[in-house]
Amino acid sequence: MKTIEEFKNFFDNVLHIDLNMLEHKRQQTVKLIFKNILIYLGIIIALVFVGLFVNKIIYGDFFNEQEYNIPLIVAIVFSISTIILLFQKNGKVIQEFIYNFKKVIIEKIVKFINENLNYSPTEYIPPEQFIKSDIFRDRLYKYYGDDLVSGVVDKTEIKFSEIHAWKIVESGEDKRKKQPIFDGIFFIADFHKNFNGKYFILPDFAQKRFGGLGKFFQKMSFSRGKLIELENPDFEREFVVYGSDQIEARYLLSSSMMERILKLKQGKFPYLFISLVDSCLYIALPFKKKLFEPSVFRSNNDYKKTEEFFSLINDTVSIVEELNLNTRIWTKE
Amino acid sequence: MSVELIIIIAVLLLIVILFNSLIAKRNAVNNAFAGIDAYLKKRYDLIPNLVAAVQKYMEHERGLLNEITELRSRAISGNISDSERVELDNKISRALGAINIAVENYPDLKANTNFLQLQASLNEVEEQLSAARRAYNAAVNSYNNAVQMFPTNLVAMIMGFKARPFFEASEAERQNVNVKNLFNS
Repeated sequence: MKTIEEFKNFFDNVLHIDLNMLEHKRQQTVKLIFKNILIYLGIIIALVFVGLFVNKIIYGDFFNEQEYNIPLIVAIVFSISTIILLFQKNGKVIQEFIYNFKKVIIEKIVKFINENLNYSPTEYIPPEQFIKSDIFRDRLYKYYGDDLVSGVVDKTEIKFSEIHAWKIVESGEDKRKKQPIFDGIFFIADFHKNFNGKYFILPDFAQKRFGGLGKFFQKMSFSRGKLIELENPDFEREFVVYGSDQIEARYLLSSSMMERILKLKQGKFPYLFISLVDSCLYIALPFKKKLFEPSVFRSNNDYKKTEEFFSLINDTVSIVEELNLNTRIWTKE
Repeated sequence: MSVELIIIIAVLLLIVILFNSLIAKRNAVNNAFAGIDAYLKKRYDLIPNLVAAVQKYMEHERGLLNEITELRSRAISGNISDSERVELDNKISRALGAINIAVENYPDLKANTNFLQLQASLNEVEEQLSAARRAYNAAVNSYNNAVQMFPTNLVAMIMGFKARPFFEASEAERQNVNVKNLFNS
């Protein structure tokens, strides 16, 4: 794990130079965007003028209320297409800048945190793995993401990316509404112990809100397996655990593992959804905002902002150490 | 249907539900105890392999290896009481811990893949054993609550159900391990 001081040095010596270069590119991008707007605006004005003049030639007036004014309608249709083209073109310009920025800055930050990690700005955790984790059980309607980080941290294989998942909710007759299931970082790591069952460690909303009654309903809910009541009261207050086997659940959630998960929740990640499925550890870390995105219309040459990128990636990678996943003293290598 | 009849049926139904929940909890305790047993057996199975793997290297710890072999044969002999069994298992745990520490003096052994595999298996069994004990205690806790709390305690009293003891670490386990003593024994 890298410290903030180490990152500050890295910023001053390496990233600063890249950010200067990218700032120049950003200004060029902004210029190009405005240039495009002017050119397309010119085309639209010309189109409208041509439409008006042809109208006058045909109907004797710029706009004739008795006629269909076809030349004008054609001009407007072309103008609208031009606006769409403008958006597409500028969207492409912005995308290209963001891609270049990530490829240079985010990739360097990832490599700085750990040489063995790889970064891809456009890839993400595939939906099959998101579904396999079984943390969110709603049927996916839309699913996309970006910023995939993957590789091996010491002995543990990890990958994570930003994910946005949506579902459709039926509200009343014929009314369908899009609703988010999850926005944030989805993290997968190879777990250091072998196991057969399926286990879920979820935030304990019911017991927190309804106390004993909440616990009663937790016991009655069998969809995720048996309720597993653990002996750490602080852990029990924050999480509810379900799973297939009482003993195996405790084998995976040793006393120290419970403490570690609790520390993670109390520290860097206040919202945690965890599942243990098929030898892997899945963690969903919800975030409201879009992550790792540079601005196009404002300078990115800013230490605070870059540190934010670094901290989020560093904290996520350090889950491996925080949960002690590199301790491989059991039969799983 | 008279009101009395309805009340009687309701009370009977309640007794059946309470009785069944008690039985379920008692079965969970027995089941959890069987879980401990299963991992103990798994540990017994590993001991001969461990002894075979280390005895070539560990010349100075012959006594310790003999002791663990003997403890194992006593534990699997069958005709021992539960308390003796617990005592034996505690001794086996301590002896295994001592072997783990002694290994540090034998770099060749530490490099032996066969031994490393065995050590990993043993670590796993120990962790599973500890998980099984925790699961047992959780089941006992839930069962004891039912036996001692109203209204299930009434049914428990009638049926003669008694609270069960928890699985606690023995006095010897609570104390810090004295490695020197272990080798002298």
